[in-house]
Amino acid sequence: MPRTDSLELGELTDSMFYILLALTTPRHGYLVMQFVEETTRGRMQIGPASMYTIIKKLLNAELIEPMDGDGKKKNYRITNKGRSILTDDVKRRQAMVEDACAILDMEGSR
Amino acid sequence: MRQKYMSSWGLAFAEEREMRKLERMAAKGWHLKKFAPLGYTLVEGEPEDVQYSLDYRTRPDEDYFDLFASSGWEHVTSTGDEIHIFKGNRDAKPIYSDVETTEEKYHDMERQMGRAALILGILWIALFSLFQFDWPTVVETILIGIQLLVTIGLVFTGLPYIGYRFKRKRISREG
Repeated sequence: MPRTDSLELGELTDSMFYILLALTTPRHGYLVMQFVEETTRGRMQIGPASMYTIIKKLLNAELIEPMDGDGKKKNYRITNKGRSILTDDVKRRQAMVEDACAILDMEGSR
Repeated sequence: MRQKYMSSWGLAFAEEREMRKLERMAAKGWHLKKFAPLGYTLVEGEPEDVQYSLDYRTRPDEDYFDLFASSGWEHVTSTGDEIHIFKGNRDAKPIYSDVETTEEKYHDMERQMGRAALILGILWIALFSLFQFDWPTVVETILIGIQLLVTIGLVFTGLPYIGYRFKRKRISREG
């Protein structure tokens, strides 16, 4: 896998960030794609090839796990490890936004 | 049904160009059916306004094709359970949606080709050094034959390696 793997640095790419968010509720791949599109009001759309790549990656890193499904479509959900990495990444992103707001003198800086 | 052969310049170099060409052919009523040696086989049908996308994926499971199908990408053909071509409507969204995963698409191919080229390169040098000695004509002929095969192998792995590497670097640079 690529040498500058952001996962190894404990950082999530934007796509991973939203996919992990989606999997706080068990979902299968296509529902995750729909969730991301709806949550971001179309700002972010995940393509099927990107989706499959990321699912495999998150599984390998044990940030998500497959669930014993009933039907043929595989459902996934976030693991404890995944949730803790997601929480850290939310804080990291929040800190970034706060820094920017303070400098740009925007609303939202407290 | 009439068929037609369309040659390929190698996916490492001409993937986008050839996907666009397949789209122009589909608009004229010639549709991709399957991969052919060093190219593609097309069949005649009704003209269609479609887009083609190619992905590399070693032995994908059923979920892979499901994801494409539910995003409006119909699986057309695959080769070696590794290279897959999909067909979508004009409004189907790109199959790769971020830089990170697009880069990874080429990363595995780059590594595979690089590894093969390295082994063949070492073999090439080893064979080349054997020519320093005097051999009976028969042995020499065989050696030349082997050397030729290794050279061909080196070209067909080394060039794609350079192509994939170049492409991956460009993606990470341009985003």
